[in-house]
Amino acid sequence: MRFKYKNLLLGLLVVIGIGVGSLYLNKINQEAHASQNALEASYQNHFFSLIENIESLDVLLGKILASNSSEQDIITFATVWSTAEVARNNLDSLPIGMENMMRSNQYLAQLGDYSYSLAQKIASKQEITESEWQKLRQLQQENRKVHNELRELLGLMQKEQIKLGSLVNQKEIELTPASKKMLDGFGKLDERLQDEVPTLTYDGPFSDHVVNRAPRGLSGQVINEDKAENIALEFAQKMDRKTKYTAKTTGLTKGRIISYSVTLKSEDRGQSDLVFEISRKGGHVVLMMDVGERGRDKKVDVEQASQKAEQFVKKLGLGEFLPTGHLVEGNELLVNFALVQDNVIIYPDMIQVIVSLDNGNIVAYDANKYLLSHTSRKLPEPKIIEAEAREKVNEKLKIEEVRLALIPLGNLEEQLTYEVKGKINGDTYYVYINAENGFQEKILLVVETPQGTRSI
Amino acid sequence: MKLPNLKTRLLAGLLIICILGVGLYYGDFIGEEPVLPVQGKVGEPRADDVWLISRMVVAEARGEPFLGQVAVAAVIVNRVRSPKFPGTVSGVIYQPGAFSPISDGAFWRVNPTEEHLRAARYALNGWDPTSGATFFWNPATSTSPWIWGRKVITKIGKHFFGT
Repeated sequence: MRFKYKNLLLGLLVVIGIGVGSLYLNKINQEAHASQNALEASYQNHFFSLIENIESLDVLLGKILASNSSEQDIITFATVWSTAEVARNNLDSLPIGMENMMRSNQYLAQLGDYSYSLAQKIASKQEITESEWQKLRQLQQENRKVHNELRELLGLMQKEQIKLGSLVNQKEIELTPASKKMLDGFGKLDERLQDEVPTLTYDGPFSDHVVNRAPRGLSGQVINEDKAENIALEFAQKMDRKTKYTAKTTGLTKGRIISYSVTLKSEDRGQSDLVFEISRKGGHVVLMMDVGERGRDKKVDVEQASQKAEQFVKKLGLGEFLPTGHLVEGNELLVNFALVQDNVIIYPDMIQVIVSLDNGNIVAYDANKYLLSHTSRKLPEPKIIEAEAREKVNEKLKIEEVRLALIPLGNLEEQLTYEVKGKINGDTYYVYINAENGFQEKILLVVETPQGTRSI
Repeated sequence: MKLPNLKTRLLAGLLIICILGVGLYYGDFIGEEPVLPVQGKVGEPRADDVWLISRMVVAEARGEPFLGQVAVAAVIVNRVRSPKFPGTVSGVIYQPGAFSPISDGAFWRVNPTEEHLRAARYALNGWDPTSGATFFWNPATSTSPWIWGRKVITKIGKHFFGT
């Protein structure tokens, strides 16, 4: 009799179990479908919006080419820039795989950037050249093609009722023939842009010549691994680490700066490794990092750490550097330095040093920006005097300090300016006045936090 | 007798599976000490970027040497700067299909430690052991033929880096 009751109980439990199980599965299923549908709605929204943006760009570019008013053009160019940004955002939200949208991304980034630079040209009273008009015409024709292809893809999606969510790259899920056709469509569009968009060289950060620029500061001969290892050891000496290191080259980094990867191991097991990237041309230290953990003590304060960084930079013998800002993060102090030449701060030539607040050690160094932009410069004489620069700033700005500075512009150009530091409405700003024509080139807001200062 | 033993074993087995299941589900939350994400405010716009990048560093480069973690973070930063990729950190990280920890949800389960935050900060401040890489992949787990068509810059730990 006992057995029978047990059987019955077990049987009942199994049935309840299956019942609860299937209710639960059903609930999960419904939630999954709701999520998928919400996601699909989001994807399609971005797709439709993208097509709308491309259509707007069509119209705007056409209007610029037809227009005879340069004042109006400034606004239209700015609208093209803004619309291209939105388009790019919408494109980036589509699940078509990043490999199918890299060139499309670049096309939109450059179109926006290029338009912005032309708007700036008109605003500073310069003429748009014939070659620039031609490039715009090419871009308009290209844009029209993109528009047509996207409309075709939209038609395909609607006719075959393809869900964009099905295009997501997943190894397990096989694409249906319809989905594959759609994905291929995007891929072909992207590939074609690779071949057909004119090379754009202009005043903007996404211009081909800026993106692909070669480093300027790699002076000197090509060196071998042994030399690189010696350079690393000498560098470590200057860091005042009271230990002996052995060096080993672990590889060659074939990036924008071709460099040897060198690791220094301390003979003292308690000390962490130092890793270096040392340029093959000229043996310049591109970066150094102490890869060990940082202690949590605060044996050194910000002032002392700052001093250590400055002393270290002096020892490097790269020239005269001025600290231009510092930041405390994670028990370390980051200090930025800019080169000084003839009393002018050369902002593009920047190096960075990190000091541990735990023990005052130099724990990181970076000279990438310096090596990209440093070159021997003959600085022009300012055409306006300091008093004139002071006149040019907003009259409500309470001026604290003025000095000469070379600043990088969006493209690869550099401009000598007066750096006017002043206060307005309780905030501190740096206003950069072009030292040759008095134009206001740039304004930066200085943000003071307990951790340090930033300018944005 | 045989029958009661089988049922008891079955029940015991099911009970163990249930306990293991619950353990696996919550398992990700024990072990590393959680670090609270720093909220971004005006003037500290990068706090959000550090939060995002450090999570991806954990998800993609857990167990890799510090140099490898900075390298992974640098790839994300390089993409933000490149016209071929979205122009913000969140855009790069959340780009559909770009990173598998997003697809499988691991991104939201990890707990970055101080070391991972440091790797993210270094990369945001410009440290780049890959000198410009916009891709990284693990040869042991990467099956996409497309990724192998990228130009290799260097190898750090178990990842190749390239463009």
